[in-house]
Amino acid sequence: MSTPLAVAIAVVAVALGVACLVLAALDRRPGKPVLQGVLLLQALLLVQGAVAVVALLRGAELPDFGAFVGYLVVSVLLVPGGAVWALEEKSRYGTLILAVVCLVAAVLQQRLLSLWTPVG
Amino acid sequence: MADAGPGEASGREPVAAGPGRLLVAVYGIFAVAASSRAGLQLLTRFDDAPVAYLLSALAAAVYLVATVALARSMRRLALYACGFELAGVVVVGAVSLLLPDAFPDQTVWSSFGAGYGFVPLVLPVLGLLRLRRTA
Repeated sequence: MSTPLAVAIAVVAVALGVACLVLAALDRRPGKPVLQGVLLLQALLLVQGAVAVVALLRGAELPDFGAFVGYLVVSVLLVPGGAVWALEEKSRYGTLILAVVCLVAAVLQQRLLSLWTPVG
Repeated sequence: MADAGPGEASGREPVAAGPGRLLVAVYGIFAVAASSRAGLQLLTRFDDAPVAYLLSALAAAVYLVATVALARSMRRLALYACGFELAGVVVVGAVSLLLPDAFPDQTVWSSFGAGYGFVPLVLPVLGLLRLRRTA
């Protein structure tokens, strides 16, 4: 679990979330830049997941291991699942779903960081 | 109330279209959050507050059922699930305020779901409204 990476993920995720909120208000669907941003977000999430798994395999111990792993699994699966569900909806509500998914991804990084207090 | 189920043979608007699709997305996120937390409570701290944790697990299971039922336009099942959630959050919310000792640990429904931004109170109402809208 890398703190700078978590911050970067949160920034990208919030930016995408706000962009999607604006697009939804304008009754538009997410265009290529937003979709590329979502791909970047997922790439960062996968790297963060890998960093955390490596640290755990190397023996980092967490007081609340179960909760951390639960959030970690959801943080990696949320965006792909949510994006598929969102993009099948051809109205502004699809854009809104993408906004919610991105904002939840940012919150998950905050939760992960607060649970990441490794001993050893 | 006829239940067309997946496929919508009757030609009605699917529950999970337009705003309904957003509702299902939020339901899904909440179902995952509630079931993860409940699973963890049952696995690691069950002896602390068995009644509260079993209630959380029951609530989480109903959220999962409601998510699937809304997503697939299984209207009758969705109606029961949303109705059960609304009854649960109102009853448990009231009991948790009147008899705080009955729930030593928080459940999703305690204090009308205040610990979860009242999402547990709002979701079933929106679900029922959506079911009526598309009936």
